[in-house]
Amino acid sequence: MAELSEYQIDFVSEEIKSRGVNLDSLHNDLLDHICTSIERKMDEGLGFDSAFVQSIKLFGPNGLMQVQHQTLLILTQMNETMKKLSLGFGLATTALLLAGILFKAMHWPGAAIMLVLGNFSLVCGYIPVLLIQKLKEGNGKDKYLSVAGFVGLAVFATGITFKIMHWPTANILFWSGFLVISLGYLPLYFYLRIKESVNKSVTITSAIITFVCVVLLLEMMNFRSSYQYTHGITLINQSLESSVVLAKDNLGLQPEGELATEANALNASADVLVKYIEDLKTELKARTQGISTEEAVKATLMDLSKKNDHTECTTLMLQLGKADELAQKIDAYQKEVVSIFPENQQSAIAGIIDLETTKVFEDHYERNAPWAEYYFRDIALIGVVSNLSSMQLKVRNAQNLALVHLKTQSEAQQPPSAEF
Amino acid sequence: MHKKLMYICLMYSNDLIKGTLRTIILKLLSENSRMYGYEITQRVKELTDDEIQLTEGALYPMLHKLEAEGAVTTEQVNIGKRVRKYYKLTTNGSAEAEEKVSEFLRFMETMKVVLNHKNTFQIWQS
Repeated sequence: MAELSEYQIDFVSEEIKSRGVNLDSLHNDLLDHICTSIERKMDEGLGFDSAFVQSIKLFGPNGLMQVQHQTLLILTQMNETMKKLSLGFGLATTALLLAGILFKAMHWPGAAIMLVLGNFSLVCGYIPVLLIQKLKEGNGKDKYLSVAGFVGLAVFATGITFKIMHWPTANILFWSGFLVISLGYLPLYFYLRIKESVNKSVTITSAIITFVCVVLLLEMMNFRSSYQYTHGITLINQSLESSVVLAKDNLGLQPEGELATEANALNASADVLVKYIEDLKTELKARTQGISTEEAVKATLMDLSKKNDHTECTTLMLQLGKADELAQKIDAYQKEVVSIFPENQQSAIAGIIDLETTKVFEDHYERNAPWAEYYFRDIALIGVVSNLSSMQLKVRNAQNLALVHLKTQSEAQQPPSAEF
Repeated sequence: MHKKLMYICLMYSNDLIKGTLRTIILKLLSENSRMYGYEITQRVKELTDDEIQLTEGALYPMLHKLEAEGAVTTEQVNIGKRVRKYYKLTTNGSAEAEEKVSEFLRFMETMKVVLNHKNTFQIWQS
């Protein structure tokens, strides 16, 4: 009985591969089948070459490729459960996300919960079902491709949801998803396709176009919060800052006599607090842009390329506790200012100077946010600096309000004759 | 049409054989503890006097489907430089084989009755 040599088996194996069979288990089946067939024909007296030709012919032209195609087709027909699951999750995801986007655009309540549920249905339902299906269908490297694609997509989608919800780790999720897709999925996809492709030039150009699109997308994401928008906020901040400077020009409000001591103490407190906030602004600029404090003092917001970045602000203010420190100082200052007024006016005055840090704010998503979260969580540098400028102005306004009160008091105490 | 022809090359018409491939494979495996692909095609040829030729294009997709569904398992044996995959029925597969065969036998009985009945056409027409 004939038995093929190793060299002949290798030859048959390569022939099968070159005819497009890349499914390992099927390749083994076909290799054994064709080799056995060749051996039988050689037993009948044929030479290896003609036995090989006849055995391959059994499959017809393109036959091997067809066998693989049929195998994949028959294997990948979704069973009923999978069909129902993918349809159910697909519809739920689409409905929830669309409704969520609509509700958000219309500022109706319930948008957040819909987006979160939509994302949940996508990441924990639809994507796993499709991934399982793709893993069943795929072979070899295609499996890595599916895993990279779906995992990247799931992480990316969760990142976007977290960003919308202002939940922590949103950025990490968003960017790791983005990296998995752009550095894992896309290169792998094109690598595999270029290898298989007949028209390599087309595949290569489409790979380049996709790459350019990704870069454009990145650029557009910066664009969204770009020039006009940033410029507007910078102008607001400039106007706030010049008001802060003007508000310090309060010599005419200084009382005389015994109340001057009280006024001086108040002036000192206000100066210290305004200076503290100014230093905070400088530190935020320096950290975000990655420059020295001296450079940050000189830099205006427009000079900074990273003015739309919010990570360092969130880190410094919330994680390193600067927001709490600031809140304590503001509260102490507010107490000092309010105490200058008679008791029956105090609560009204507190309302007017509006420096309260203990109150709860309703944020854009109709959730209650504490003061520090409201002003500093995930707010771009430009916004945080403007908020701080606005606080400086409030500090000065409170100071001036108190000075006016003291001055009125001091004038009432002094004999009018002094004027003459 | 070309794709359908892939399934089974035969002396019988295509419509007649369609759907029996699974039954044929299960039945053969239930009679032999384990078989490899080439062996199955040869056995079908032998048994049917070449009236039914099971082509490779039909056999392997079906074997892989049966494996994916858990009706058969495989054993791999190295033969020199190549691997031979033996297919054998699982418990589920055996049960299905029995069921498919008896179903088909009943179907043939029914067909016999129908086709032998002289007045069949009159009944259908009335």
